[in-house]
Amino acid sequence: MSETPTLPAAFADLQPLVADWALRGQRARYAKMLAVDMPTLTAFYDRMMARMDAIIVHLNAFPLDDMPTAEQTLMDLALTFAETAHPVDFKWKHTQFDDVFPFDRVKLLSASEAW
Amino acid sequence: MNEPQTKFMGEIKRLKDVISVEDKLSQSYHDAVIEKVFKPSWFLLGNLNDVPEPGSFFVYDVPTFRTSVLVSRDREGQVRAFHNVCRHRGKKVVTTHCGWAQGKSPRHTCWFHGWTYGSDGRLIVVPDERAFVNLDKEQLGLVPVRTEIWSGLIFAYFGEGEPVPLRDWLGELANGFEDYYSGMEKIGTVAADVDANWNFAMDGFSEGYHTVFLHRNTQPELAGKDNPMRHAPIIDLYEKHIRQSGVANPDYRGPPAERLLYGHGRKLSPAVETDYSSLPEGVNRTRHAPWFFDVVWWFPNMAILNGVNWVSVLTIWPIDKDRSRLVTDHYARTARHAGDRLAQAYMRGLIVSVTREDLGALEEVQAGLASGAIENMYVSRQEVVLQKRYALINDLLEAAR
Repeated sequence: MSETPTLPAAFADLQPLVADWALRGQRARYAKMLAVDMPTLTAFYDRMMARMDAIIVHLNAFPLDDMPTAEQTLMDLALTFAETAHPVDFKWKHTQFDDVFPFDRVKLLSASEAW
Repeated sequence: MNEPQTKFMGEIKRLKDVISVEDKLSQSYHDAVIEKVFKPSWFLLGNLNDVPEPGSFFVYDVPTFRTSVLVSRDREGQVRAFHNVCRHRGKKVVTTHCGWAQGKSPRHTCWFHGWTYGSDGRLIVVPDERAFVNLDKEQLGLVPVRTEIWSGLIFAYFGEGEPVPLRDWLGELANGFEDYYSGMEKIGTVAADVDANWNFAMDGFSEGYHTVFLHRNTQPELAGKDNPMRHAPIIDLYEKHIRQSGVANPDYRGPPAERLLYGHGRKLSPAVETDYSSLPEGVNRTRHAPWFFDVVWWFPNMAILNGVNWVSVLTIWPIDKDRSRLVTDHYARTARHAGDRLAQAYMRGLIVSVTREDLGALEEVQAGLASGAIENMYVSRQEVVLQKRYALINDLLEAAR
């Protein structure tokens, strides 16, 4: 099993989130959103919201498509936050609704899987 | 309260607000539509930025025309399109996954027997070439697909014979979009095959009326108090295509994470960007405020949503009479830094949830209409885009009789 990547030192407080939430690609992130319950998603959201200003200021100093491993891990964590934030933003009771098109029939292509 | 009323530019008197259902469910109607409506049309396949460098390519399966298209930028920087079909025995040269592939390569090898083509489509390598009796490699490049570029966008034509030039087909919408699409990068594609006729599927993306209800959970702040049903300020009805200006909620604030991310990056959908200085003439042409985005419907099966900092392209490809492929490509102004990229991520995450609402509804519409329970659809002036599409299709089918 590969080792969990390490975050930049200034963000060590978020290290416990990395294994579950520093995901690559849109499908993995959206699937994670559907797989957890709202208290779990909200706990992740709250931890990240408190640190996002600092995270973005830190990451803006690095080239977008060529970040060092620690920064890329932080970026993936932040991207997962951004792509899974809306259920908490809208105060949903569940991470999805019953009458919507099943996610396993949705294809995410091109740039969706590039970052 | 006086709701804002829509200004309709163009002929709407002859359009019908009662649309019959049964005729549109028949195989003969569908077959005639493919022949007389789809074959003579141009279709948007992508943005030049999707193939940024020599060797960049993408492959787009087009089920309506039972083909797969390889779009590539050659060594000289020219963008070309070919049928992704090997000249040897017809296998796909580049294998697609879910109707799509992309990458960067100076050549493409068909892994059936190793025939290899350049990024310009030329046949370069035929293994064991001397075992063929009469083979002229010069004559066996990939078969071109007719394409034209307009405002940085790549259009393809699949009909037989000489097409109407793209600019003529675009008509009044050919001007006013200069440099707009070339500032955008693709941020994601959401696609699905659905059990629905393409026309009924397209109906679901032809008006803003549904957004207040179907998207109540994902876009709760769309409608302003001054315009609760989101009446469009202006709808331009041209010969084939339509442009609609979409209204914004003047009191839009947005939820906390969206506000934070769109504060560090560019403001993307569904937030309201009020600085129109980057817009070309053809987008929000009246400079209406409060404004959210324009929709241009390119007849018959495309809708392109033009915002200040983002563009979404929707295409519905008929597969068969009762089955369609929906492809939505989402673009945003090219990211300058991590803050912009994270704003893009918020938009594309939300879009999946919004699209799932649309897709769920359209399969239920198909089932409802196919049941035969209702003879007609009754549509409002805010749904004029449906009226116009069905009228135009009827005109083309009549003209062909």
